[in-house]
Order: sequence, then structure tokens, then C-alpha cells
Amino acid sequence: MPHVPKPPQSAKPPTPLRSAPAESGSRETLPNKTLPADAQSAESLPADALPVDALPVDALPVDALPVGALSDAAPQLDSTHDTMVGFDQESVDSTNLPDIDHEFSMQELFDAELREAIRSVPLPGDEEKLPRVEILGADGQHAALMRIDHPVKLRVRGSLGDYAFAYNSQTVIKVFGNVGHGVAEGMSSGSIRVRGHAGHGAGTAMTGGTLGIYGSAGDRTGGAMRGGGLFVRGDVGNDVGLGALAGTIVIGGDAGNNLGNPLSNVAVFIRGKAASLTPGVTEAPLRKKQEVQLGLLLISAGIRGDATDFRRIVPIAKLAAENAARGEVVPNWR
Amino acid sequence: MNSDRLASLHLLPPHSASVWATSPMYPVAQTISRPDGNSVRLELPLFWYEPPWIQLPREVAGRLAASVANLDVVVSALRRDIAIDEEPSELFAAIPADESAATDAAQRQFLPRMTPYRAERYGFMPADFDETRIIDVRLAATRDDSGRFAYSPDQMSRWEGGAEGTTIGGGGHVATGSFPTDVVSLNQARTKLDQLRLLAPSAAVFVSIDCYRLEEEIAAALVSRPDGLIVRMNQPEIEGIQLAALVTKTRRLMDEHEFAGKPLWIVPGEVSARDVAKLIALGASAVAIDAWCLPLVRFLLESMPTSRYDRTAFNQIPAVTSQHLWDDIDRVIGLLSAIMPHGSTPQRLGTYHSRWAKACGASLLVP
Repeated sequence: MPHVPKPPQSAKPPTPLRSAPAESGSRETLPNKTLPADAQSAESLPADALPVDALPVDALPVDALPVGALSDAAPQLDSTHDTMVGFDQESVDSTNLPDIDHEFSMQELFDAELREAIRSVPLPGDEEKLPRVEILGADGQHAALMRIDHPVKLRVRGSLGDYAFAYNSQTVIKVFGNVGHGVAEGMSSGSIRVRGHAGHGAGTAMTGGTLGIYGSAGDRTGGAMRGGGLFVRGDVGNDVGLGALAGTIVIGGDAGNNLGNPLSNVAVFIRGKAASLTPGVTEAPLRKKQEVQLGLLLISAGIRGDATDFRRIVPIAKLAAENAARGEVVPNWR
Repeated sequence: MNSDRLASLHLLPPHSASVWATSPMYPVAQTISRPDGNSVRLELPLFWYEPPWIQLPREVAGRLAASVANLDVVVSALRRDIAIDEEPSELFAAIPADESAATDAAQRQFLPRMTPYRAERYGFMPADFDETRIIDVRLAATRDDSGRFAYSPDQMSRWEGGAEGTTIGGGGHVATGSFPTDVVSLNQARTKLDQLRLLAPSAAVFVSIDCYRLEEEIAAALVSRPDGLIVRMNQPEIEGIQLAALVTKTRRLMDEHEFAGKPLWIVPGEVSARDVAKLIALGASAVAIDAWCLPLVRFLLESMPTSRYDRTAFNQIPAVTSQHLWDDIDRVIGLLSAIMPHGSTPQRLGTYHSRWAKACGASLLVP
């Protein structure tokens, strides 16, 4: 296994979960319509710590701007690197919102009511044009917007707590804020794009669809994945891909310890450095076919970048099998 | 049917000198409360915790699961354990209502089922949350038949290989997880349990642990405030007296952690109907009867016809199941109807052995 240097301290994923303690005073003024307040433990994402502008400046990617600054910031983004252009191309009108078909507030509806309201949004005859639904009042609620199986476009203004969007399918979601632990658990189709950071266990046990995190993600990202695609534009923590069986994990930044899984078919691509790899996996360059595949995936995720910048993390046994099969097509005796 | 592991304990009758009165028949049904005020009703304090579904073809496993659940025993299964995605098993379908009965969706009845929520969630589908009575959050890793902390290739293929049973992960064993990847700590697990309550509004959310290092494990598990606790005591090394002591100790620890009155479900391994009643007298709320159901699995394996068109054995599964289990279930109901629900252990149980009395707090009887 090749030696992989440990990334510098600054390359570690930011820690939005501990960035600011919850202040009970302001918490009480906003009713949590999703879970009772006493259900929120200290290690869960505190609601008051969630807005992007509350995070330490050095913990944010350069383009992770406050929600209010989106419309001003988008034209200034540097398009030579992977940027938020893909994320924002449909959202630069965040202040005007001309195409909003429905608008619901998480402060006014209980979670069950909200989900029912979204499920009852009528679908147009034109399958290409999904109804747009604006979700307001996101303020760190846990277990929000779960198990929605309805083809609509949701835009969530604000940050959400743990286990947001669990077991969703078909829905196309954009979040203008951070999310807590376990975002998109068990998701089976559709897409979720998070403009901010995610906590630990993002995309756990997802079986399909696309989860894009445009900030950084914590430990065990893509844990027990069974399919789908997971993109993290920034850094990820330790044990990424732990127990994953299938799917694709793309890491735009650096990774912590134990990256990869030797017993799976999951495809892991990384642009930065990993502090260490799980025993049984190794780094390998991309083949042409994978470069094309990854390039398309990056485009679909709105991440600018050249696929050749990435390396893949692959089980040693799988690589050996690939090489053995390749030998028949490209005989090494030539 | 089974050996009497708690034979040294005696279920005590009322004092002979007490004033004559008609003995009440205490009900065996129980209701489990959720924090949101909803409750889950279970008719019997019996459940099948770890059925070896992988040993049976899906169709036969589904029929057996529904047959056992039809006797009001809570059966643990994922959809993919016992059926393909497109054709859910009888266990997951609504009980056919009488024509005269209302067909309102809210009044539909389902068989009692518990859903294992493993750390890795292999094989888990969102539909597994629907109409389940218990979500069993398994915090401890489990061994397969070979003793590995792993899932066999066949098991993985059934869960994740689709109807064709495609090989998964290179076709080898896949390691089990010991803690959910999206849970940061036991404190934060409380949020996870609340999430599960939202996803499964008809279910109580339990946490299951092993019986080793009980004090640490119970203290840790109860931090997340589950609706009940499942403790696995089915290791073959555990003797009867140890089993009784472990149940007593578990209940005491739950009381100390302000968890008194919450359900304690025990997975004891081999037990008889009298053992089940004694375990409940010691403080358990429900007892796993895996040992009673395994002979059914063996019977089906032996009697399975080689021809797929021979449905005789398949059609007889409900009758065979009822014939095999009902006597024991009825005996449990009978014994429990004579146990005071809120009585103390010395009032309920006695023993002639000082070791047993010391181990579980039963009254020491003089021969």
C-alpha cells in the first residue's frame, strides 16, 4: 500500500457541530415543530449554531456565503475551480423567487403536516417541469422532511438538524444552509444538494440518487452505502465508505483516516490527500473509461474540475482482478 | 418441549390460610407507551427475535412468519428476509377484513411484527417502518451461525442481490457493524430514536444489547431513552441460575436508571413455558421463543417437496405451526393469568436452594 501523507491540520474537515453552543434563550422563541426540544442532545447540531454566518470564517469554504449574499456572490465566483455555479444556477433569483409554485413554513406546520402538504402538491402533466416548493423557517429542526416520495423541487432556506431527508425518493432538494448528522439516510432516488456543511454519517445506507455537499462532511460519510452517488466538494472525516457495498463517493478535498472499504464495490474518487487508507485498499490512477464516467458525474453535480485530478481508492483484490482481466485485452507480454 | 432451566424456582400459589376468594385472571396483553402519547398494544408477551429466514426459501419463510404472527407472537423480519420487493409477504399485508366490517384504512389491522434496525441497515427498506409494532435498534454486533461477526454471502445476496440473488461485495462474508454510522454517541442516539418514532408512528422503539458488562451497557443504552430494552441472554454458556440472576439484575438496574415500568424483553435461548412465566415473574415483560420456533424451521426443511408444484407442505404451514406452538402458548397464558402484575419477586417465586434465592431474590422455602 502506498504511503499517504497525513493532511495538514488546516485540511481537516471543519467542525460545524461544535462551532457554537446552543443558546436556550433564543431557542425557546422558535417552536421546534419537528421534534420536542428535550429530544435535542448536546451533541446534535444545535439550531443556533447552524446558520452559515454563525460559523467561524476559517471553517467555511471560500464560497460558502451567507444565504442573503447568494444573489450578489454568484456572479463573482471563480469559475476556474469547482464552484457553486452548478448549485446556484437555478437559485440566483433567491430574492425574487419568480417560479415558486408553493411555499410552506416549518415554523407554522408540524413535520407531519409539512410532509403531507408537500405530498399533496399537484404534479403538472409535463413531467420535465417539476413543481417548485419553497420551504421557509428551517432552523435546525431534527428529522425534517423525511420519507417524501414525490417528484417536486424543494428549496430549503436555512439549516437543518440531524437526519434530514431520510428515506426520500424522487424529490429534488437544495438546502441553503448546513445539515446535521445522517443527512439523506436511506435515500433511494432524486437528488439533495447542500450548500453548507454536513455532520457525520452523511448518506448512510443510501441506495440511490445523488447527495451533493458543497461544504465539508464529517466522519463515516457514505457509511453502509448501497448505491447512488455522493459528492463532497470539500474535506471529509475518518472512515469514509465504512461498510459501503456499492455506489460512488467523490471527495473534492482531503480525507481523514481509514478511507475506503476493502470488501465492497463502492467507487471512491479523491482529489486531495487521505490521512490513511483502510487496510486492503490502495490508490490507483483512473482509467480512461473512469475519467469519462467521473467527468459526467462532476458535471451533473455542478462541480467544476478535471477528472484527471482525481485518484481512485480501490480494494487491492479488485484491482488485481481488474488487472488480470485487462491482461487478456492488453497482453502484458507485448 | 424444552428443558426446564428454571426448575429450581417455583411459582407460588396464594397462601392456603388466606380468605377464600375467586382468583382473578390477570390479562397477558400489554400496552407500551411512546413519549408522544401514542401506545402500542401487544396481545402476548412472546416474540421470535432472530428467525433464521435465510435457511428457508422466501415464500416458505413468509408463510411461516405470518403463521407464527397469527398466533399473536411478535415476529422479527425485514421485507427482504421473506419476500421479494414486488410481492410483500402476508406478514406485511393488512389482515383481510370481514365484508361487514368497515374498510377504512385507519382501521386496518396488521399482524404483530418487529423490525430489526441494524447498524448497517443492509436489506432495510423504508416500507419496513410501516405498521410495525417494534423497532429494534440493535446496538451490539451479532454473530452468524459460523461464529463470525459477519453476514454470510447468502444473507447479503438475499438482502441486496435483488430477486436474482446477485453476489454482493465479491461474494465473501460482510462484517457487521457495532454502532450506527450516523450516530455520534449514545447521547445523540436519543435524536436517532426520535427520528425512528417519526418514521414509524405505530411502533415503540426499543434498543437491544448483550448481557455482558450489564451495568455499563444498560447505563449506556438508557441514555437514549428508548421505549423499551431488549437484552440478549441466549448464549449457550449461560446457566439457568445465571439467567435468573441476569433478569433480576437488569430489572434492578433499569429501576436505578429511572426506567422502572418500561418494558424489558429477554432473549433467553432454550426455555419452557414454565420458564417463560418465571422470567416474567422475575421482571421481564416479554420473552423470546426462538427455541420453540426452530423445530418448525427444521421440519419445513425436511418436508420441503422437491417439486415446486407440490404445495401440500406449503399449505399446511399454518396448521402445523398452530399445532406445534399453541399448547405452549396457552400454558404461558394460563400461568401468567395467575401472577400478580405488580407483585414482588418473593411474592411470586420461591425456591428451596439458597443459591437461587440469593441470585434472584425468590423466597427461600423450607423443605
